[in-house]
Amino acid sequence: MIRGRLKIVIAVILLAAVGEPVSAYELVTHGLLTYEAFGRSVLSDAGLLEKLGVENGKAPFGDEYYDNSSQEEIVRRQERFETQIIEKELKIESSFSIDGWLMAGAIREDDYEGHPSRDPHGENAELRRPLYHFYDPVDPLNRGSALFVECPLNAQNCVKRYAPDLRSAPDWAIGTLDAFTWMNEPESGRRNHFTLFDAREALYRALTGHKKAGAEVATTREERNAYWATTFRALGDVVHLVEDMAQPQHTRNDPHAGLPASLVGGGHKSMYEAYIEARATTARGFGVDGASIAHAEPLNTIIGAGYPIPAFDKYSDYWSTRGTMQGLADYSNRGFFTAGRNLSDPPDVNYYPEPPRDSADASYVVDDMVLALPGNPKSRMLRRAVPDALTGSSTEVRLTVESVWDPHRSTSSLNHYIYDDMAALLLPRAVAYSAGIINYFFRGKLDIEIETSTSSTIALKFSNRTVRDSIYGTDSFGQAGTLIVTYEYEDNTGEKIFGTSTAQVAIGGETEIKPNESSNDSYTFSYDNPIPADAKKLRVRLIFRGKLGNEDDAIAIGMLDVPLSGGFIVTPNYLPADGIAGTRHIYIDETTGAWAVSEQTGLTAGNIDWKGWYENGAPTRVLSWEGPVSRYFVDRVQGWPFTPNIYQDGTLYSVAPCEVEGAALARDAANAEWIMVICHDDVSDLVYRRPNTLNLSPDLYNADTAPQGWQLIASVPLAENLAYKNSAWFFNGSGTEAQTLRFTYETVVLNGIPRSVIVMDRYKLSISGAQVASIENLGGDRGFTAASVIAVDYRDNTETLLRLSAGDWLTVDGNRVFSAEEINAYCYGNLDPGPGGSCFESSTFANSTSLNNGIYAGDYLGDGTPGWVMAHVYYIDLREGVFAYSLSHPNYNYALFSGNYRVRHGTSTMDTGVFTLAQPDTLGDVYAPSGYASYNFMGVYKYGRFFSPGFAPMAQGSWAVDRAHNLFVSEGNSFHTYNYLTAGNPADAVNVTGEALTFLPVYPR
Amino acid sequence: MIKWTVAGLMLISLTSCGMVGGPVSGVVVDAETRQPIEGAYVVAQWSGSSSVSIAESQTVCIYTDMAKTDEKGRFRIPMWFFQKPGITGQRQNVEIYKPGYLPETGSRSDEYGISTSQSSINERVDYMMAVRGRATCRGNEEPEKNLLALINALYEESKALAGVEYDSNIVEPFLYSKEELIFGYTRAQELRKKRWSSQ
Repeated sequence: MIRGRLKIVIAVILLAAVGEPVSAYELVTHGLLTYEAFGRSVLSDAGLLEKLGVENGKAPFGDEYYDNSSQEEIVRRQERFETQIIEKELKIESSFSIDGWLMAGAIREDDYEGHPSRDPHGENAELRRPLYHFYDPVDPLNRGSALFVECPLNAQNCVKRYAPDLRSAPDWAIGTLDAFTWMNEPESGRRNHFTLFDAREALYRALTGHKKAGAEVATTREERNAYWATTFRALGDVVHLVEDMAQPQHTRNDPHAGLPASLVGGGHKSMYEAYIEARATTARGFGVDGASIAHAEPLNTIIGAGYPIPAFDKYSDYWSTRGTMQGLADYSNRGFFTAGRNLSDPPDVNYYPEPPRDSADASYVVDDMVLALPGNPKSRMLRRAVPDALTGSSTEVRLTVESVWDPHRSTSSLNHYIYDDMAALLLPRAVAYSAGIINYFFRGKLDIEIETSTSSTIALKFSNRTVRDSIYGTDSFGQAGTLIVTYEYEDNTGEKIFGTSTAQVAIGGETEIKPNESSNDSYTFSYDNPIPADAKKLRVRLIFRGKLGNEDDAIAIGMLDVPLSGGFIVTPNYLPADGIAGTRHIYIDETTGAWAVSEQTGLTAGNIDWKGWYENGAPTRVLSWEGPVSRYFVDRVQGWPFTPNIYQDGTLYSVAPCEVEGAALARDAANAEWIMVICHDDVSDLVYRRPNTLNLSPDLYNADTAPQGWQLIASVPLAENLAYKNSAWFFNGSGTEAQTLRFTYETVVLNGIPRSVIVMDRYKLSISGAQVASIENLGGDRGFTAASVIAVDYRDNTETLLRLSAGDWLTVDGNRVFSAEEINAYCYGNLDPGPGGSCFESSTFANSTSLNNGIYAGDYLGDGTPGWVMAHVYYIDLREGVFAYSLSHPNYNYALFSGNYRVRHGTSTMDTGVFTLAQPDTLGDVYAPSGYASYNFMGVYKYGRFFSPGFAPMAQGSWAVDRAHNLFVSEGNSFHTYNYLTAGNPADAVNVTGEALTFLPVYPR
Repeated sequence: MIKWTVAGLMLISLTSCGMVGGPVSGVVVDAETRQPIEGAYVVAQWSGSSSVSIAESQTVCIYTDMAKTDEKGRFRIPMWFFQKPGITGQRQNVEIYKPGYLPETGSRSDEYGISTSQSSINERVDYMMAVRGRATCRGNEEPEKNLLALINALYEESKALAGVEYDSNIVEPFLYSKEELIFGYTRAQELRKKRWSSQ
């Protein structure tokens, strides 16, 4: 009894010393913590916002949101109360931004009995939200605060009475009766309308305009915007309940309203919270511990300390992981004392095992302090290492001080030095755990793999891009997950049009889709309205709702800009008529059949591509990177064009730790997807892989710092006498094989004359389960006298080889490429000996061939030195059978060479023309450049007396074939550039003449 | 039963008492010369602890008022008294504002020193935003119209800092505050939304 009285006296003294007792983390503190959590969460990632279809700004959603009870949906508005705190006290530009809505939720989670305004739902008018902000990870009842403890004045006789409607903080936040065992079962008729369940439903409605059950609830953008506001407001409420776990009074059942302890739910004032609020507001003249702090130190310095953001497998873990004690409540409960649960409190008051109640415990470090007071009273400060089970570390801080006024040292208290130490540990964790739960909420990611796309339907498969969680076809109750497609585009007036598929589609047939795996089935959706022919920027989103990891009713989102028929990225070198500068995407508009230009900008790609994962004869994936203009043969003069960049779908997708010489996607035994890359150092070709996700870090794998990093999985030693250490590698369509040719110089005697020729050794990697299974040297041929392999590629998974043949010059898989008529005119000297000397009699195209930025061949003078080039193959794509080449001939009347260069595909040949490669044996429309005839004789100057009837084209940009087998080629000389496009004219699409255009070949899938 | 009755009586007695504050008076001087400064705005804010919640407590604003210094640098904010239920404790915070000046730091007495501001525009705006925050009584549904002169002075300085009549970053917060005082929260929001949508 004496002890009890003493406590009361001391409490009065403390209050008097403090002078101005003030208030849980308070509202400005919650606002500040939430703002910081937003900044560290995925919500500050513009990529995620784009995927969600929202942009942050001053007021992207307006000022309305929904308050949904089980009975009715009521529109509410953000109020002056929270706007004032956010904008005037926290100095945030707008309380209506995404971060503003989060902060608004965090602030309004402290509503109490109609303060600051009455809840519109009658049953909630007297709601006391702070009662639900407690969670005791030690008390097995776990029913939140012992607020309804019936206590006589003698506190030792307190009887805990848990009111039947009390909920612990995690239960209240998630919206269930037990966050740990019934986390997927929402409490029906719950009084908290801003739970995780509510946030999730609001998110689904914002994304789709539909309820989970399928009915349409939002037909306008404004209505969907109100659901966006609702989503973030509700998440703000949830975040508040995580932040409170970083206040030990909330995890040690220590009510702190400032009312007498004998009162129901009373408790002393939380000086800790008031002091932290003073720091959050940088208050001037704040009184604490009997002294006045002229200007409180801002919190920014400690909350930005960068505690690592936790990533757990279920929501409740952010509060407590139970046995492993990694939740925030676990940390604050066992790490700290509170004013009402302090070291000296008897076991029925401070009933927590940690920190130890015995001040003689060996874990304490004691500092004796002599106070500058009359009689020099002594006090003892107890320090102790606070354990962090998540990081496995601990930090020693001041925990409690034994009272100078108590000769028995049986009374301990806290002061602002202790509060500073507590805050330095707790607030960074409040921010990090809050960011973590936001990240977890938005973790579901999908990739869309379009199979067919028309103006009215889309058929697709999807892959699960969520980092750790699998997608399941059915949830724990046997309910099938669903997919719905939304679309948006700009109509011909520039207005954004939004729509959805006509129905949700169940995915009950799927079992488990692990991270990076694709769905087994494909799913077809019909649009609610057809996409008009003149629609621009068509973008679809795929929204999954169902079981993801431990969460039965999660949401995962995928987004894709729909290129209806592949196409190319072009760069007009002056401003097109539509006024949009930069790279542009041209594609075949399926409704008109003509080439059209998208208004998308900022696209990019490499000029060498891998096409793979073929389905029905068409690749479903394309990667590209920078490589030789001719595809297979680098430019010895200009150097090696390789860079570390890998592109996909018009954007930079991955950055390798080295210059990419070959790349592909592969699947491992578990069907996980990997990006495979080959490059080299000074002694070896190096094979790396990383998980196939959009990631621009070139970092090598590290379990702690770069778990998604590049893994070196093989190296292939280079020969010492290589002519070039770089050699392009080409993968097959499945990513299970790759081959390259390595160039080595050797001297051989041809026709009795020693000549330097190259040897091409062919190497082959066999890949299994995204790992290198074997490396073979398939050998090579010396010189060009035999059937030497000079290029290798894959048509899907079938190897295709380009060989040099003594009789046929170039052959593909044994078939000659050029006609006898063409290659029989191999030697100028045979037709016009002239002053340059006669052509060596035994010379052939084969033994006069050189490989440099393509393939050159021509006559050689009798002394073995090269003469004039007669043939130049500029671009080859063995996969498509495309050869673009020119032939020069002194006889300009010779009918064969009336054109200036040729494109050959299969057995078809076209001079300066373009044909439809989708039908390889049929010539399509020819689009000759205007004014062509007037430039027929430009080659005169270049070739001197050896007159060329056509001018020699030079590869401009590149030559390429898109996914739909359309061909884009460029012809250029020092005067003009012409671009040719299968069955069309690029100038029609971008409204610029062909010569003012360069292009990158591969736009996506 | 007796226990509950006692508790109820204590609760009533704590939450229904009248609040009184002020007066606050003093002099504003040049921090270096200690000469009086005329035309400085002095805003005083009283906050307390709300015990409306029995689980947690909140710092709430009780009252805020403003005075302007006379030619001798003197100011006086009169005493106030009214019923404000559910508030315990009381803290007084005094902020000095004069365009182009900054208050000196340190403990306060009845003499408040200010000196010419050497801040960058961003730092200056940040300080002005803090002054605006002090001149806000959170939760009050009625605008604090007695602070209009101060808010107007902030607005005028913001325009001078921005060098234009309107700027969405520097001027906007003070224009909004002025409109909120004059027209109320709802109308001020409408006006601001119009400005945002026209940008």
